[in-house]
Amino acid sequence: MTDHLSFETLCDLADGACTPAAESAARTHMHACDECASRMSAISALAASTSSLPQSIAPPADLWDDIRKELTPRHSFTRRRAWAWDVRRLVAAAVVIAVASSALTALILRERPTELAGIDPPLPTAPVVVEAGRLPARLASEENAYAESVKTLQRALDVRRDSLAPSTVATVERSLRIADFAIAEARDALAQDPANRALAALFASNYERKIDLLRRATELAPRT
Amino acid sequence: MATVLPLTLPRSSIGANAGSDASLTARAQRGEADAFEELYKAHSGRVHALCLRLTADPAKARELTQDVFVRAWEALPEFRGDANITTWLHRIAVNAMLMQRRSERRRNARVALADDEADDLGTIAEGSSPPMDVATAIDLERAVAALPPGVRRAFVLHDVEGYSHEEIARMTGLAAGTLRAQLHRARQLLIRTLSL
Repeated sequence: MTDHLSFETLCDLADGACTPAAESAARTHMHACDECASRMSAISALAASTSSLPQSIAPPADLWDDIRKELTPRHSFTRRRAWAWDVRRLVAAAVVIAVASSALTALILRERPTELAGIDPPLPTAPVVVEAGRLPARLASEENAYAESVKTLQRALDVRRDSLAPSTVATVERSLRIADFAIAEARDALAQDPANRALAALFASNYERKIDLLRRATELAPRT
Repeated sequence: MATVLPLTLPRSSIGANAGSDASLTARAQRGEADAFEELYKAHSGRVHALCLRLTADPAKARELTQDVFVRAWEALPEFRGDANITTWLHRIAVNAMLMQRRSERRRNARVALADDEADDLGTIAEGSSPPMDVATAIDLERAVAALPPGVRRAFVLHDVEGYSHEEIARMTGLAAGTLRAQLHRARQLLIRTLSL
């Protein structure tokens, strides 16, 4: 017996997905072919094991406490007003980080850098410390993943720093401070309104912009 | 990554109470967190089992389970009860897992360090050995946890949770043929790993 049934055909047979004619032909074949019959038994054994898996697995005992903290009260008027006030600062921060990104693009293209002065909110002049504070678990975990990416790219940039022109390094560092500023703004807002999905998206987007800035900075041409 | 999943409840111990669910859901929709806690107690085991099997990572499963119930709380006012709440929660879990995967892929792509196709079909080459801890552990949960993410998702949703190819295709956006191939691949790998 050389023309064995394919694994796909055997699976279809196990799933009841064969036409009656195909099923009949396959069963006839298996009566005469130990190898195919054995493979069919393995598929059936797997199906039997799978059906005996437990449907329920208890979550960690303290998980509800974390969930409870993230449940926003329904119809929270005061929270909405606070968010509406914060949104102006957050939008401003997002605009600034976009401008910083343009400045870096100009550098890459060897054009005149975009003017960053006079933007509201005022640009940070010293490194912004993005402090780890109380964030919902899923955001804290997301932030850790971003932080890993940032660390890796930052190391790559540090290696190349000496090969870049001082003015280029200054622009890159300024852009990164702006990115940290925007992240810190979003982070503060999230700490006050941890269940706000728009804020969470802005927070992630600001981190992604920082990663993009870093990645592009590592691709800048060395000084000539 | 192979993970030992803490199995605590047998399938036979699960009992759904539709009438009680409807009443609790109505109260939770009005904003009663205590009623939502009761829904959580009734359904968190099944949701967490799904999350554990989809992620194969207890820490990620915890986050995902948390995310599912926070999303459910936010979406409850729009829940009209035309689906079983268990089905509805499962759908939220699958969507949350898919969003998480896409977000991880975006991050990885930007850093350009990870092979973002690591979960594609055929990641474990034909004839290659499965990871050592799986090869030595004759345990279906561990073997499932060691599957590449794409084929694991197909196996968990189809063979464990009982979704049809069409339902999975709608949820994941993958072509039915791709899902079918992933499912067959998962079964092949499991049969080999478990020496069935």
